[in-house]
Amino acid sequence: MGDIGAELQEQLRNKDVWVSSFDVPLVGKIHLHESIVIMWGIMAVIMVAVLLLTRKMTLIPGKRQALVEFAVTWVTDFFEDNMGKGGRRYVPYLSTVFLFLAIANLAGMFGFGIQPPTKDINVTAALALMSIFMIEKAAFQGQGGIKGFFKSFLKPMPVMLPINIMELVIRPLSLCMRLFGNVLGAFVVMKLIEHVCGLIAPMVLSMYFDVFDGLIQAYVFVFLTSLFMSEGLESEEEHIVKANQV
Amino acid sequence: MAQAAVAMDMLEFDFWTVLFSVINILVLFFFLKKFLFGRVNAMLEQRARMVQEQMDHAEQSAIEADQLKEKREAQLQNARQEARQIIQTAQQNAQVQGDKMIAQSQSQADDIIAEAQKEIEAERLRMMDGVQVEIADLALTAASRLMRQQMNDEINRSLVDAFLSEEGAGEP
Repeated sequence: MGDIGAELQEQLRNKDVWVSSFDVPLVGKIHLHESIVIMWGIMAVIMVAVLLLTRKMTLIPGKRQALVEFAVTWVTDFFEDNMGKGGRRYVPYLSTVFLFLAIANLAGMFGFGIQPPTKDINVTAALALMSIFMIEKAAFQGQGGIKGFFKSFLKPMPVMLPINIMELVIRPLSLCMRLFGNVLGAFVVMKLIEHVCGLIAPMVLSMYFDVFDGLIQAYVFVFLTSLFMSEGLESEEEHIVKANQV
Repeated sequence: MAQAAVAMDMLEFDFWTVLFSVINILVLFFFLKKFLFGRVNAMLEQRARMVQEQMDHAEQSAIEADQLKEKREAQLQNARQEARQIIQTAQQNAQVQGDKMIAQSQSQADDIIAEAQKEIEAERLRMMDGVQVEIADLALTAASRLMRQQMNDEINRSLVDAFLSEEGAGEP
């Protein structure tokens, strides 16, 4: 069992592809993790696919264009159902994250030593940071400016203030750790299974650990982000309703 | 110790990786926003606008067709009425004209008949006169032969006239 332990340790380490020879003040040497390079590859694949899919759009759609339009409309409707009309402008961001996460979580299946970039806690941390930024941005806009934004920390009652402030940290942390933990767990389990059994069993189990869990986690991440955002946006609609009643 | 080191490494936050990840996601976001959502939504909007325009156009056409139909029907109605009026006027004119012609013919015929009767009367009178004279001559001749006496013509004539008038008075 010693060799599998060592191998796992090796696999779990965030490898540097390149380290700068110079120091940047305050933050030290530039580290370029393998996960970033894999991200670039995933981005390149997505970009090329999108360019090919949206090439030469016409008023009367072909099959390819109809598919793209259907996907975009479906995603838009999905997030609008979650967040209401006010959430429409956040659809492109949330869709981007979902698309990236779905492909990133599945990346481990493609072989060639590619590991899911979401196995690197820094990537999930970055996503969580952006999520909390978007959540607070939505709350800021939903509450109508800085005053309403700070007031929203006293809701539903002033006693909730410490909890509301703690949520600023808890939400991104839970988002980050949930995604990281799930992908890492699936990765470790799959490595162990691959080590123990032959070829067939890992393929079947990979359907669960990589495909199912990977897509579920991508969905959960985006869904929770949109849910938190809708909490911030909701009071906007309440304000409108109240204004209409007055 | 080695495992602990790995665990630490695994959970170590690295400023650069976070920064690069954020940049990557932002780049991907702007790319998708422009090339996927931008393009597709523009196309959907364009199509919606086109459909709307076409529906508006069809509605407009239907309204115009209705108006045209109504106008045509009104024109047809007018034309029918006019035709009826024209026929009526023509019939009235013909009636008047016919009546006039009949009256004229009637009066002409009356005139002709009256003329003819007058002429007939005059002829009869003239004939009567002629007959009288002839009869007088005849009577005179007969009387002179009968009496074989010389008589004053003038006295004789008056005598005969008197006689004849007496005779004639008995006739119708």
